[in-house]
Amino acid sequence: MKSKIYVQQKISLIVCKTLTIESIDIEEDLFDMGLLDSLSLVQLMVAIEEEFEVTISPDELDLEDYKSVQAMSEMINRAALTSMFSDFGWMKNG
Amino acid sequence: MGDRSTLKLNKTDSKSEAQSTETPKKSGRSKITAIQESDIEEVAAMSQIYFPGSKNVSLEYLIETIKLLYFTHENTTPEVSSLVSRSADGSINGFLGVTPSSFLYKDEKMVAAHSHHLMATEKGRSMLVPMRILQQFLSGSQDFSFADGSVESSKLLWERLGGSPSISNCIYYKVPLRPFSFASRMAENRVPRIASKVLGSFSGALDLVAKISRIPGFNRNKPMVSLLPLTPELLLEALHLVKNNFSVFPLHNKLKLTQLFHLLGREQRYGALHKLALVDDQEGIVGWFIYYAKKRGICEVIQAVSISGKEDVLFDTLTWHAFDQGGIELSGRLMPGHIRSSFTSKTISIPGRMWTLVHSSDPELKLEIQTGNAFLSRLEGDLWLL
Repeated sequence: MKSKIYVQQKISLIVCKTLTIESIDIEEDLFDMGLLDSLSLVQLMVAIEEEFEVTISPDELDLEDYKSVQAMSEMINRAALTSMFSDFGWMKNG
Repeated sequence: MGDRSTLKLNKTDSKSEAQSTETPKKSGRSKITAIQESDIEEVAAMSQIYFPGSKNVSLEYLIETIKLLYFTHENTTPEVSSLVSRSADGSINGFLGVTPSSFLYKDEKMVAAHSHHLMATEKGRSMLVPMRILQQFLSGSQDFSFADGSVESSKLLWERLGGSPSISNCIYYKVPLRPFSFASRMAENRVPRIASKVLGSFSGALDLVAKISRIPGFNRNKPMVSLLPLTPELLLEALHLVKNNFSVFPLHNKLKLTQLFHLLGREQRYGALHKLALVDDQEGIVGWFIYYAKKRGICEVIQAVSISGKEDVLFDTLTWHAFDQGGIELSGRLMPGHIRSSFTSKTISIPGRMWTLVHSSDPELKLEIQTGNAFLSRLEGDLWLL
């Protein structure tokens, strides 16, 4: 599992690249700043999913998970934990 | 993280919350609710800003259309409704038109929700209103959802929310009825203005000369079938003839078709409405078509359907009729059953000009639609809605 700082830094880079901005504070609210629209959010989702090799199921999609770098990083950490537990379940059953 | 994993959060039961349109969903920054009669004027005014086609009609006309579509239509239900998004100050910052309809699938009645006219104000866009409103719509109680004539950006949003394009419903066709005028129209934006004007004035004359000279492709022969005005009763009868060719089929009734015909008839932007049934002396009804014809313009097909084996008769009759109305070009969307017919061999096919998007929690039903087994035409499409 990757460190929290690493995940935050990677997400910050993706956000800056997708939204063509120079820097972003991890707690800054992207919605309040008016930096995101639905299409750039989709681009951001795709880039994050590719970087961290996760797929966010449409049924579980919560837009609030994308409001800041911190929120996105928490979501990725939850995904990592889900992945770890499912691997563990596989080992146990196997 | 090794393998690609799917995130399952289980934070809250967000789906059941999203399904309700009675209770507004508060998504932090905007509230999404079912449209109310008091919203009509604001939605109509928004439509005039964000949809170029709406600028050509009066605000009163749009208001009346919205009333007819969402408040008096046969299919209006409180469970599946058009959605408006409101900002904190109460103003509408987004809208999604939704028209429910009934379909038959495996002998069971299904509720389909057709979405159209997704729009959001500048501020609404930065509040992710299009995404939020679509998310709420797609998690509704309908058995399947579809959007017709969608643009690329809508496709991206739908795909992210679990929807996908139905490729078999995304093939458009064009028929040059008056080839010189058609070519001149195509060249309009590609050649200097003066050249375009010269071409324009000559092309009509050239088409006429070619027609009189009976050059193939410039003249259309009168078909051997009789044409009868397509009434709701006749359409119901005709629909019954093709019902068994599809596993997902719309459930119409006389009142619903009368309302649809009324809506189509009051629309003037696309030209005169023509709706006719093709009747063969021996076989009875062999097909029908509904289209708008603009003299010296585009004829837009809303629905053109035939019984099996009569696709070419339908094509020849439709193109003859549109030619007779003075049309330059006939344009429509291919019905899956017309793939191996004149509708592909004698037309210019344009796959993916616009997208038909489908969403359903039932993968089997979704596949039926995507493989062309659903009867989906532009009759309830958004070409003429607002």
